[in-house]
Amino acid sequence: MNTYDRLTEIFQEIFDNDDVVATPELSAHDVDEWDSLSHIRVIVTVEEAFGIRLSVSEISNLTNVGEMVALIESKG
Amino acid sequence: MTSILSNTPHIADFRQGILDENGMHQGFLDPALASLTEDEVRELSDYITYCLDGGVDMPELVECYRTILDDTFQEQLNFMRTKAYRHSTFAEVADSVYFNKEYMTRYMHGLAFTAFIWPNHVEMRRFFLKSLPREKTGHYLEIGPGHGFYFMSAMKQGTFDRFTGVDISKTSVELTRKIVGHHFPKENRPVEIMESDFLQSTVSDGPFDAIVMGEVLEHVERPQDFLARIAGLAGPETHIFITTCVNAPAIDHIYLYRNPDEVTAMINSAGLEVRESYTGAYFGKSLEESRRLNLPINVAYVLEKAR
Ligand SMILES: C[S@@+](CC[C@H](N)C(=O)[O-])C[C@H]1O[C@@H](n2cnc3c(N)ncnc32)[C@H](O)[C@@H]1O
Repeated sequence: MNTYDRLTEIFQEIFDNDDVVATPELSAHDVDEWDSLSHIRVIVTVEEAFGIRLSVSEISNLTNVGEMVALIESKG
Repeated sequence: MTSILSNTPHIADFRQGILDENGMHQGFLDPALASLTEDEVRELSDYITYCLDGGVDMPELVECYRTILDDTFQEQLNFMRTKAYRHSTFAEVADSVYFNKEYMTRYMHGLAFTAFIWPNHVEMRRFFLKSLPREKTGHYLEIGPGHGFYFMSAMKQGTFDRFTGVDISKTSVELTRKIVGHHFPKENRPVEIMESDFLQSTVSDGPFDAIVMGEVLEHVERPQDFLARIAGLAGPETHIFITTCVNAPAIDHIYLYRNPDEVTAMINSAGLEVRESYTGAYFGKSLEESRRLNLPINVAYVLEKAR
């Protein structure tokens, strides 16, 4: 499974919304349920799923899913 | 919303300052401001004016609120990773928070703003004001007044004729004295704000007519001792109001309640009973979901001494 597919699964589970699909342009603005706490849940689930650890500044600087994928892959 | 922004320029500036730094917060901030009553809008605007008059400028005020947002974000991240609060002893947080004047001032102003912006804090303040007896006289005691906003509101709204506050932080004592002095420059009723650990404090033996303790239990190592002392200072007619939180990490939260039942069990074993309660699920989630996902829950209670 590639990174986008895995993220789609994570997003659908956390936002409780099967219509959300991870694409490079997707950002928090596009998903109503994506507030700061669900952002944290996404991050912690991503950390567990990919076996990585992200810093607060890395997390705060993310503006879209494409950047998140690049960050995950740079750590992998 | 537009009318709030055009009628209260301070709130408009404050909002803009927050959004300039954190655009993502708009989806949260705007509905929150729009849901305030006219009185609350005026109170928020007055609070900003009071801070500005006291020499804190707008960028600093924005920074106060951002401090709370950023610190809470970091602590929530840590909590989701570890399922525990970062610290568990008073000593670990005392110097960096309560005894750090610069940080504590920022934190307390920021916290006062959350009472107008974070839906559960707004509701708890409404519950506090609604439940505060209107015709009760006598002695009002508040533990941990912090920014002093509840204390000052009790002086405004209540008919008590004597007020005592106890706070362990010198900065909180000064902030409470300042806000009281500003709103009641010619006050005749005795008001005393003591700098002390509540458990060591030499407040009178009571019984007090009202005892209020907002957001303190999660800041202390042995909250059961605080509840027991409150029970000891209360009589059968005392109005007791307390708030706390569950699974709600913050930089200085050291006692973790994992569900609201743990709070009520502790209240009961201290010899107190719940007369009325408020339970606020995490924003946008049901109580059941908040419990299941260990999301923050706020709780507030009107208590009475068990008969
Ligand atoms: C989070 S603030 C709460 C402010 C306000 N009551 C509210 O509900 O927003 C907690 C306050 O409790 C005070 N505090 C913490 N431990 C205390 C203790 N052992 N005795 C008295 N006050 C204490 C802190 O200094 C701080 O001012």
